[in-house]
Amino acid sequence: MNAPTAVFIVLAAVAVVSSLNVILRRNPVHSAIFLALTILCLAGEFVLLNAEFIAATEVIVYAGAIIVLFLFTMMLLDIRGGMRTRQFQNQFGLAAPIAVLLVALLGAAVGAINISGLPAAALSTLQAAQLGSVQNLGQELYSNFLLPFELASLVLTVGLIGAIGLAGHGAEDREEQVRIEEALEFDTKVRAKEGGHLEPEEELVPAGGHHA
Amino acid sequence: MAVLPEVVVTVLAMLLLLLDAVLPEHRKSGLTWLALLGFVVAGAFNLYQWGSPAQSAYGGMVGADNFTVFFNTLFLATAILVVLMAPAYLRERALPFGEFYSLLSFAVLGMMFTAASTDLISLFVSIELMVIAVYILAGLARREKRSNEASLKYFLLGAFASAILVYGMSWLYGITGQTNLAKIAGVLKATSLDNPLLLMTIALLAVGVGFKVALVPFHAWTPDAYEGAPTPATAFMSVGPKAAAFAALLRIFISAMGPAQPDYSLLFAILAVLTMTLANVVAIQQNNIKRMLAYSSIAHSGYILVGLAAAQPGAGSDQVAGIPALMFYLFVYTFMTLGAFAIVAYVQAGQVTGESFDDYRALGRRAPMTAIAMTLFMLSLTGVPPLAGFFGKAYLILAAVHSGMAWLAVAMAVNSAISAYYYLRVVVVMYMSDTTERVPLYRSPFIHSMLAVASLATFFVGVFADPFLRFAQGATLGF
Amino acid sequence: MSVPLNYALALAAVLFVTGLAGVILRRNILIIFMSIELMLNATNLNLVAFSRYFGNVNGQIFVFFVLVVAAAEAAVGLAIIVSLVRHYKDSLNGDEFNLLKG
Repeated sequence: MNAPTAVFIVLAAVAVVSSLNVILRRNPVHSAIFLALTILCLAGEFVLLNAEFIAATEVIVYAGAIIVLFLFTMMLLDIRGGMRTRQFQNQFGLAAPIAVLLVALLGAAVGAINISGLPAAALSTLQAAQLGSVQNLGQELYSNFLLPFELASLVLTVGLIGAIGLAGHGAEDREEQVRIEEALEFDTKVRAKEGGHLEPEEELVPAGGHHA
Repeated sequence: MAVLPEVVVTVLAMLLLLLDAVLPEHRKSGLTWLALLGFVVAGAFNLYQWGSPAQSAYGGMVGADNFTVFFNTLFLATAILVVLMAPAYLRERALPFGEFYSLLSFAVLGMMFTAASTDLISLFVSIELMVIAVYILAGLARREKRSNEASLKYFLLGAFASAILVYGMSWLYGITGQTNLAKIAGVLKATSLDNPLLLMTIALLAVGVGFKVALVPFHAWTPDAYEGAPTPATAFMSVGPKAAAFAALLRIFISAMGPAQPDYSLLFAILAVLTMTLANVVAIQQNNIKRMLAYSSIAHSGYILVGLAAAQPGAGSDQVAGIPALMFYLFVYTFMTLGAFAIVAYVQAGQVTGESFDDYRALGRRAPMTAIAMTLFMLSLTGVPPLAGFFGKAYLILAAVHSGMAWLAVAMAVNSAISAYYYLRVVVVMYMSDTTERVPLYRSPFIHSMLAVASLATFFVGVFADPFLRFAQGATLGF
Repeated sequence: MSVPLNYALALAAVLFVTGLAGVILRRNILIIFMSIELMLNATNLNLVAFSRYFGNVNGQIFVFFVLVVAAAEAAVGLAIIVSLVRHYKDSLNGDEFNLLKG
């Protein structure tokens, strides 16, 4: 076993343990921290696989942006309420299919080379080092992959609109919200009492506007 | 210029966003006209490209062929009809015009690039552009609890599905070493198809796209998301992203994995039968019309999937081939479903919910023309001749029989009969029950012209099916 | 020669299934969302490994776009969660949002 493989195995072990912690922890803040640890291990694996630029991007985007966003959200919300209740859904019947899937995917992973029959590229050390270089990726991104690159900018624009449009309004909505909820409740009650439809004297809206 | 219609829609989306920020509140309804103009111009550029030789652009990322033109026509027609049905509803509920139209444009842009993509990477980015915009559209009524909830359910399952889909794509890249769809097909043709890895990839991709087009058993999000979202957004979700997901399905499973067709044909046939049967049985029990239409839309995904199960790559424009039948049905489905949802939006006016069957009591007397239009849509969804829905189903059944899956054709016919029960129930409520309730209906020239267009299309695509079928057949030549 | 392809694919498979299990079994929506991020990262590892194996850069470019999409998705998803939890005080449990039921 060569040195990169040994490092890979160590990082993989840490990644698996911390990913299990992501899904098993009661406190979502702990999950987020373990997710960051998993990401850091993966970035290390990327370096071993000659993807240095992607490794850096992964750390910056995931650990630097996405997980911080998660942590900010947890600060905004009261997460303790969710921690006091039952943590798992009653779906343990699905554990068996999940285990089968795991075995199948692992089998595929182990047998991948023998089955697919596609030859590995015999890269020299220099070629391998250039594969994930900033220069190489930059050239590809701005030539062959220009269109998805532009589309990605639109995806981020939409993300921005969404964040502002959905969460960017606070207190001024509260009054309107209460009004709608009361109206909905009233609507449901009236319907239940009258067996499905309103009587004329209880009508909410004035008559008029008949047309087709 | 291969992507001119897409460029027009991009400019439109940006313009809507900018004007929304600078226009004073009372001028914002003018955005409706701008959106209409933009989509019509894009549609004109798009139709102009029909029949021009297929070409590849941007380093093989997108293809400009008749397939793209067909789907762009579908998407732009959807966009125009949704813009027509939206203003009255948006004004009534004080929802933001600018955000709605610009998100709609972004979603349409994502759909157009989804249909045009000839590479896994551009396909993935386009699909995500579409679905992220639609998550926001579903939650746009942010003051309403159920709109938030719809948006969350749609988002969580959509993101889950995307993760499975992209994992499947990574395996497809791993099996073939290529991301270009045509090159993938080349590699698959040259290698043995008797390959467990390929089967696993097919399964992952089918689950990923299955969530997006709401196939049973991956449909659980659909009724909730459709019921809670603002009705014009629901109308859009039930047609646009679904058609785009079918375009992606065709691009992946026919363009790229066509050589593996014997491997997945049966899988899709079984999913189709499961989907239509379960959706129809559950639809019968619904009392909320939006939920009923949600299950109906799931059932229709099942019908449409029959086309893929019966597809024979290389059959091209064969009269009874599965793919033209699938595309023709999508075309028909667009008009009848949008029409039905427009009427739901119309009847909801002035009410907090207004979505139960009781709200349709005596609609035949209260609004005769609307009731006639609704009857037309319901009959077409059932598949009554000579309406468009009938021919759509007939071609699919023919395709199934022709490809030797008679049992699939039988399942589809039986399901159409079951679905008649809940579609006709709407008609019965509209004409055969009385009410003292007098809720005012909208006065909106937009929604009336939208209903007129949708009902005329539902009627004439049925009566003169031939040119439209040829349109669909001409569009499959890209494969 | 560096790390064998199989090792990377196996690690990706384990991470993917872990994420999948998290989505299916947990109730807390924030943790469900983080599990989805785990699944995306498994995909990234798969793509990088194949990219190295074939000596072809497409896989790494794909990872780049998966990252962009994940960022946009996180922004929108967390906005949706914030906007919903305003209505349901004290709860982050997905199965308690039950206004929409047939």
